[in-house]
Amino acid sequence: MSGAKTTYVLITAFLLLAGALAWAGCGDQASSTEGAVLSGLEPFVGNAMYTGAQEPTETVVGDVTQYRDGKLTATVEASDPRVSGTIEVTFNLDLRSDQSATLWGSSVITNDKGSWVCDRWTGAVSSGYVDQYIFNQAQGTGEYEGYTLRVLEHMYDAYEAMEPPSSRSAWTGWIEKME
Amino acid sequence: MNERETDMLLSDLFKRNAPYVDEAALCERIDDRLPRRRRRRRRARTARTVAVVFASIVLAGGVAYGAYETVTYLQGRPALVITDSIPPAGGTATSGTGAATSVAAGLVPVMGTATLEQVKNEGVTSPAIDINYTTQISGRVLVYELDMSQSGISGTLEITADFGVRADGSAEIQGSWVLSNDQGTWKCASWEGVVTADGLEQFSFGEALGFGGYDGLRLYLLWHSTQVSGSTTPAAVPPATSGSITGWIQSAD
Repeated sequence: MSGAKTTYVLITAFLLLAGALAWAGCGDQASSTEGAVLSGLEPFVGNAMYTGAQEPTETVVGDVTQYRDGKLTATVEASDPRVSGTIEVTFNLDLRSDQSATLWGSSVITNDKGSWVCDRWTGAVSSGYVDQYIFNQAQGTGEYEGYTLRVLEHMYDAYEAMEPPSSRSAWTGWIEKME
Repeated sequence: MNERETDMLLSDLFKRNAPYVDEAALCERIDDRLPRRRRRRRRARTARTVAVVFASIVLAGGVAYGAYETVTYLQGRPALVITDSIPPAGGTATSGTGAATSVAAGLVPVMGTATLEQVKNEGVTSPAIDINYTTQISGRVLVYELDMSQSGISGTLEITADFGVRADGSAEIQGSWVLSNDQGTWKCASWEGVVTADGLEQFSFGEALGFGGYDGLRLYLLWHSTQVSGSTTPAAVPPATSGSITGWIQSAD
């Protein structure tokens, strides 16, 4: 075998083996980059349009007014269609005299592929009931089984935002695959 | 020189010398040599092929291991890189002022993490106590390192914050921030946030304008962080050492 032929065989074998091994090592990652994030976290942005409400019970305890078991429904539109759908919210709220508040509750987002079930979300409202924030972690069911949805919701001028119909609610967050 | 060329030379030699040599005697002398020589060549060629294959395997294995280590390192990063900067289609979102904006018009969702690097207390003051708060602090500077899904919003975030903490541990935060990296800056003139009554969760929202390489863009960031239950550090002062950040980038128009 001549020297040139040896070099050719060496390079060819190297390229073939390196390519095969690199492909084997990176195959799973390459196929999961759709949605653009290496680790499988897929960010989205969206909006909730509140469409209906059921008044909560009201109890005054000292400086705090306690609202319990209120209901809200909204239509969610998001850049990721898995998040879009109808959300039903149960909320509880402790309102202070300066109109700031702590709130919590549960929620379910439903669409034709499955649902996102949140047993407990938490939130807070700034004084004067201006900015309302909610953090929601929900588990997927149906086609979303095995995924977790994490949402941060912000409402500006929250009293008005909560009064249906209103679209003053920005949703941001991400979907991640649970290992 | 290969076997065929050798055989042809030998053939020519025979033709030239045939009249003068005893062919039978010559054949008798060389016949037992030719097979041995061919066996030696075959052995040498086999050894060379084995060496080439072995070297290829060793070399390829080394490169593949390097690639594997690189991929493992990248997968272990806490915040990851969006390679596709094309805005998603469909859906809508609202800004902090409530103005509806179409996602299709160019909203790019972002996410990532922040790590507290430094707290600067120079210039911190305690203004006259508002009756709504038990503690007030003004002018505290907090420096975070942001590791975001878009490199354009990764960098150093410097927040100048005022805190008002109530008796129940809940708090209000106001301030401004500047996010800088080597391509430009994002400046948020008005940033606001709250801390829950149990002091364990903090939320904030800010809207920033881009400068330098980010001219013509607007950034909206929502921040959420939690503290470990039982922490002796007052939750609102300073904000948590880390947190998740989500939001979006859109045109400033």
